[in-house]
Amino acid sequence: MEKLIHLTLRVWRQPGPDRPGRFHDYPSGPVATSLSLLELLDLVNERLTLNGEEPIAFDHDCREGICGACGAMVDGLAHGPKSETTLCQLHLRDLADGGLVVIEPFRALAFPLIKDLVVDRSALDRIMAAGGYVSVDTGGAPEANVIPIPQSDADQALAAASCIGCGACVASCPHASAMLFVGGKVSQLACLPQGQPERARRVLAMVSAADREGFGACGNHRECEAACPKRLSLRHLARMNREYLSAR
Amino acid sequence: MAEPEAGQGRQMEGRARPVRLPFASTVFSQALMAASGAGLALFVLLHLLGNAAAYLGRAAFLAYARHLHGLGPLLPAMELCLLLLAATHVVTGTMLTLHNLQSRPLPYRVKAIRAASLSSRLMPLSGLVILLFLAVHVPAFRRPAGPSAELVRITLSRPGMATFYLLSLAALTSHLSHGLWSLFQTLGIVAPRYDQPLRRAAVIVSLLAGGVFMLLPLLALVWPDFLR
Repeated sequence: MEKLIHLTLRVWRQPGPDRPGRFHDYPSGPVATSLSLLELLDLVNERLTLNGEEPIAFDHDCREGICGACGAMVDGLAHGPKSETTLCQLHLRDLADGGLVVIEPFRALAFPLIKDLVVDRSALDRIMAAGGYVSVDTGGAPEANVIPIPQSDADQALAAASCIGCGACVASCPHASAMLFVGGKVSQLACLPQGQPERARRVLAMVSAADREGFGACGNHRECEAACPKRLSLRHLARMNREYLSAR
Repeated sequence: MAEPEAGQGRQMEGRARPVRLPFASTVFSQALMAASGAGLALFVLLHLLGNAAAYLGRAAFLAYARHLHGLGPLLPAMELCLLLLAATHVVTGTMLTLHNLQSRPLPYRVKAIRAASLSSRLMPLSGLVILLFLAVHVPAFRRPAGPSAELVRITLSRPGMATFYLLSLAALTSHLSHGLWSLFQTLGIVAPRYDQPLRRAAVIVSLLAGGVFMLLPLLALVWPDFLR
């Protein structure tokens, strides 16, 4: 027999960017602990729809922690209390029976609210568009061992590339800084030969794009690293700082 | 299709917010904070060695003061350097704090902390306390021939002043415990292998420094014959 628990969801409801928002409580009734929190929101939305009420708007897509679409603050923590997971991977078994679960949207100047728990994270796309790519023509695929890349560099580039762009770093940072996000891409491409020709231009353009969007400055609080579902290390941020200072 | 403009649709509950940018960029400003902070921290540690002379007794303290003021033109040059470092640190820090305050116009109703230390979150506040402290401390002890042992004893034996000193030194300890590690991260000069030891060292050094500094007002407060 599956374990059942009762929760009260306190969800931020806001009809639109220009309308005032407030918390609304939704008792879950008895629910199986194998449910994910997003599935519980689906359940609440079904009830709301049947009652003719507006369902809770929230972002989601793959629901297996790889796309970066979902994200909200659960009890004050980006993606909820479980570490190294996205919101969609948070299950009711990770929450206390009978508890109150406060769900709030990611908040930052650069993440304007669209509706309820949905925020506009396109600022991250614009940072990427400023330089988070390789545009030089690298020709056809060369013979595999022509360009030697140390294993440690390849490992670091791969770790940095694991960012899914969910925005949890920004949401959890006391300064709403996006520097772990920027640092991941800068570090990834700085580690690999393909990234070299645009190395200096890239870091300057991406940092200045992040500043333009209104993200805060990094104060090394380490909240981003702790909240990151892919556990991107602060070392990428240190490398970005190094890249930036040597590019100037 | 038109390219989306940077910062397009930056509205929070209907209000567009201007973004104040400190100097070239946030990363450059943070680097300025780290570099000037490193200089100031170096001075604090030198100052600490000087203060330690007071614990060896009146003669050692006066010998240290005489030696320091015997440096000639080197002393005003060092003072000017410190003033420039402090001005850079305070002005850049203020601009960064203003920038950061604007980055989340609507605070979270519920917010929990995963990793950030109390000292890291209190940096602007502890910095402000240290600035206020300097406004009292420098005029109190800056004398052409160095402070006399009597001036130190009389000033620090006043309970109000001693309390102010102890609170300010607690702020300095907190500021250093984050800053001494953070500056390496900001300047990008730390290997991950040394990250944990560096964080621990920063806390130990700042606690030691804070403790040695605090001993002076404590001794002056409870021991009438201190430096006699």
